Amino acid sequence: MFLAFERLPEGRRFDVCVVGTGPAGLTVARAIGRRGKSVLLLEGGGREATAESQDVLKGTVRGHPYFDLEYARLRFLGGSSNHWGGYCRPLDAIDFEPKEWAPDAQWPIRKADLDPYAAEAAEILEVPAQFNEKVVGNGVKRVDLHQAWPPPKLGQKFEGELSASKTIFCVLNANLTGISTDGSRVNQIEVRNYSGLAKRVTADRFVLALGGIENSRMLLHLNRLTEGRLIKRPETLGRYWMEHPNFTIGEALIYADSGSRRTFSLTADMQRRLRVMNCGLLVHPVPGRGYRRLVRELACVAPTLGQWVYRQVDRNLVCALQLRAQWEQAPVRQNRIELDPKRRDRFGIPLTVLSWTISQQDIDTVRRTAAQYATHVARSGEGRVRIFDWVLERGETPPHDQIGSHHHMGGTRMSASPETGIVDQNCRVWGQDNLYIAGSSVFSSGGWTNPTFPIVQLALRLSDHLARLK
Amino acid sequence: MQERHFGSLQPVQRVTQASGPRTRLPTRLAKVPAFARLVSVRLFNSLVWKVLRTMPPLPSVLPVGASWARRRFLAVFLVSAAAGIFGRTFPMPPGQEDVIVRNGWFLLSGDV
Repeated sequence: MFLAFERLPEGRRFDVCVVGTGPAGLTVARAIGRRGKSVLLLEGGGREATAESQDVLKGTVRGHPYFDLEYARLRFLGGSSNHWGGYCRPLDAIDFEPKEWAPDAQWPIRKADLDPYAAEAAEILEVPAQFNEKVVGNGVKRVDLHQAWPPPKLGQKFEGELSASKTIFCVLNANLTGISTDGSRVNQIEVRNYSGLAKRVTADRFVLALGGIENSRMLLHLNRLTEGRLIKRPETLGRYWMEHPNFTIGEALIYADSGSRRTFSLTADMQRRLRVMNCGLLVHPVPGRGYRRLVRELACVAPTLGQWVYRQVDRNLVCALQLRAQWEQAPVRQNRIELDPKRRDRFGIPLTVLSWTISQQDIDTVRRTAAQYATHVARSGEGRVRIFDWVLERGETPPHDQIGSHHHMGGTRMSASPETGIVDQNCRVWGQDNLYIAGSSVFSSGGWTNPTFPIVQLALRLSDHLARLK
Repeated sequence: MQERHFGSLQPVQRVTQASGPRTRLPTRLAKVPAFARLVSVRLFNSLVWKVLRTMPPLPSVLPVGASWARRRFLAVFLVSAAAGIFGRTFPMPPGQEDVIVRNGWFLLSGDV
């Protein structure tokens, strides 16, 4: 049921308090609530985006050009599911494996730990549960990237269920502002509405599901408030933040009906051989007569082939494709979230400073993957691919492309020990018995796929863990 | 025009039998004997050469105005560029196919 902020019962002790109603928070709250436990679900915004709730998300970016942080996220019921693209795919097995060439990409769990939750995640996100892949040659595989269309807005989708629930108590406009811990256990959190009214919430367990940037920002702030008693090993807090760089990297002429959008990546063996991170290549047909320029360019460098292609154009057998890449960044300490020393939001919490760069290793990943795919296309006779110079020459990324994917990962990464991360394999904050983190901020590495599907898988796994606890 | 072997990206993998449908089909250009193509390039070369010889000296910032050696260099450059643009290159011997990259295009050597 929904409760007005003013009616939030301060004296009541809930089984679980979940902060955030994005895909992670909603999934945890619903899964726990279904098991009969009392859940207090807190959302910082209302039912729609407002200027006052979005203001909290302002921030500064250093390094490579990046999106305005205020508009890269949404702060109301449903969170970022209110503007996602609906693309779904689980992480690959190799994403969880340790890599000699990326020593900081290390998960304490494996893909098999998340697989049992794939079917339920697919049902929540309204995509098929089967994700096929087929090796097409030269270490390249074609993979399924499902798109839920229209992308479900989870806040709207589950609002009725929340209203009818007897175990889930949802409070809107409740902004996390404080926490009290005895050093090993969180006792209470403090929330405020936009009028400045404060309430204290008591629960057996707390789950922070604020988002891929806000989880780090709030933990940095709360750790400062508690003078370091919340995160005892904060060396990695806010660090190893990752995005999925997303650029148009080339074009292609295909000698047959192109079909629809297709997605490719490298096999695990080829990634190991080339020592690259994971990279998805999204091949889109170019509508209209985009092929004409490409045919002319091809004819200039390969006239023999060009003449033949001209004849295929006459028979409508040539199609132009745009080649986009969305790929995994090697996690590095320098990409991080910090607290702004000067600017604060309306609750007095420092705003975000995000430092983000695309490294040469990241460019190498896309360069080698693209070359492998382009070689496959040429040798198989499917067509010819042109890769842009900045990719082949390891140059600067173009400033006017999409740049990123609005995928915010890392900052409170999952690790096998408190020295190398913030949460353990059950998403529990190291050193705190009853504080958990949900969402993509726990990703130790990001794979190349859109993170919503693995976020929901992880949230379901966390719910299972919480339900088993007494 | 940039051209390099794919080996700069990873070890060259030579392919003697490409799988799938072949794209290197006979064209009118390919049917022209290699000798005739060579002669045409030479004729084009001498034509450019004649034009340059008859040109009045240009300001010294342009290489053609400086010396005959520079004019000759320019002539060779123009002919090479023309050969590249119009594809007057000779096919690789059979069995020597591998992937090359030209202006970003990933090509089989038989394409050019």
